[in-house]
Amino acid sequence: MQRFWQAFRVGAWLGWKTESNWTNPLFYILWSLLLPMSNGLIMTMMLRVLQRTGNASGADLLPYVFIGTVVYSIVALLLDSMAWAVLEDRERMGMLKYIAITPSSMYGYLWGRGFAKVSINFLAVPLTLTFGALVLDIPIRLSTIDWPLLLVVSLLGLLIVTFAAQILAGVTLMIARHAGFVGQAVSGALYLFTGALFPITVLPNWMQVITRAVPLTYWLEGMRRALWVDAQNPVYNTGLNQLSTSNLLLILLGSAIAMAVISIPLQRRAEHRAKEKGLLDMNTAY
Amino acid sequence: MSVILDKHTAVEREPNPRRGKGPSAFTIFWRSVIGRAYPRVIGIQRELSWLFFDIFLPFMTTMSYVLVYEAIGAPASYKGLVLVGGAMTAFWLNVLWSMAMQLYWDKEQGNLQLYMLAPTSRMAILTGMALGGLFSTTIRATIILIGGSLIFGISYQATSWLALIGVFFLSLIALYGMGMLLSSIFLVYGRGAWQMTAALQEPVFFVSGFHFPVKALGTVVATGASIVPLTLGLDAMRQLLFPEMMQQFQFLSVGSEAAILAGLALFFGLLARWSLQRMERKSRQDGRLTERGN
Repeated sequence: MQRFWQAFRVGAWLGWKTESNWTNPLFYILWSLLLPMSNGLIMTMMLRVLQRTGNASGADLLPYVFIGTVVYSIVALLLDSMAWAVLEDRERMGMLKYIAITPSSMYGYLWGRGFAKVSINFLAVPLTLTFGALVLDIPIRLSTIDWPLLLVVSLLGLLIVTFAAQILAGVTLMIARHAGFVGQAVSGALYLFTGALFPITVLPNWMQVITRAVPLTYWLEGMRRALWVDAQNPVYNTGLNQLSTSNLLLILLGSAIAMAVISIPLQRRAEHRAKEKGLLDMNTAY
Repeated sequence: MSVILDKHTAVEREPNPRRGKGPSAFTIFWRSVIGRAYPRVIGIQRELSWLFFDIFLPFMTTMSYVLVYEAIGAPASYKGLVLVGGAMTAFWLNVLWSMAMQLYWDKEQGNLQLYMLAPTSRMAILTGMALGGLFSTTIRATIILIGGSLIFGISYQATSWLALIGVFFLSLIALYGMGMLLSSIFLVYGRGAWQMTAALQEPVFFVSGFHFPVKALGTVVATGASIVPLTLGLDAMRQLLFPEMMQQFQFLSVGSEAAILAGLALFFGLLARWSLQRMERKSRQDGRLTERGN
């Protein structure tokens, strides 16, 4: 445990330096707003274009989609951060092998890198939601936010995503660097199975089964319930409005434990295999 | 007439007609193009995980965007509009991360100095990168387009396939010219290059209208966004594929957009060539060609 925290501290410090000290803090905050803001605006335009031309039927899904997209940007960042840290340290800096030969914990180091990235960008999500409430008329009001639920759901969700990111970092240890990014590709694909952009009832039944098995689906639902007072309105047909909030929290807690149980041995196995196959200093300059 | 003595025997001999004449500049250029494209094409055969990470997963991302329109009961042509945009995101990502960032990445890995030592043009290396990258990117875009069309039952009413292919290639030439220009600029950047590239990704998805018609953003924004060739390219391709629906969303006529794209292709090509020479000289002067980790 001591080694874990030591490596975590070093990883977080390094992550902080590499992520933020290339510019001044104000510009960095503006820069970190670009991802959630752009995603939120894309969704807004997609829906508004249809509404303006009278081609949309059914409920106005903008609050559902906007909150889902903006909150989901944390998932994208965190999933990408650890996988990218592996690639960057292995191929660009050529230092992953040095971490592997020290007695420190690679697990803790990668957690530190992920923590640095998310903590720096964490401010961007509330700022974008505020922008949505003030400019795009998204119904989020300070007086109606369920703060205790928001805190608990946020913490559990972050734990789940961090363990998932750890699994992805393990996979990255064993593959080459491609044109795209593993973290971004996976987080993009999970859009489909988390109901981030649309109610899961749109999906065919077999896909809904998968979606209900992905913990992030419940995390996004929890975040919507905490932020948006109308989240459980049956008119949106989200497929999760029958689920009580206490059950939702239990599912999130169980998922966090399950993800920990899966990710820790997987990371060890990936590390071992990367050493066995000589992949810790692989250089793929495609 | 000069007399040439053999250096070993000191006996007079005829001058070698090939002496001092290597392959022509043209041959070297194309050999370099093939040499740089080769690892990108062969690399994807050796590491098949790209099929999953670069094709299957992005395919699912695009499906999600299409499903947003499914959720609000949009007509099929609107889903087609998103699908075409989703397929073209592959090219923008390829230009950003495998063209614009590549020389910076090569510098960090120590490859850049080898490029500089080679008796070839840097434009040849960048062209090779572009062609190699286009190979896998085109496969990805095609699979997204065909797969999505089949799943969602999207049909196209193409008015002219020839014009469509022409606009597609014009867009790509202009886009990869832009990639070369960015690549030369990022050659002199430090770690900021990475962050700048990341900053260009999502905002361009928004202002270029990858997931909705760009006209919806208004004339001023759409005009500004036209500096990214895919803005006009996408608009023209959508007009050619969904003429009926795009009547209300047409930004400029297809002919005008094609003409501007041709202009952009020329502009970015020439500017990239000039910029590459200038940035290379600056990097040499400042001693930044071998700099790493800054």
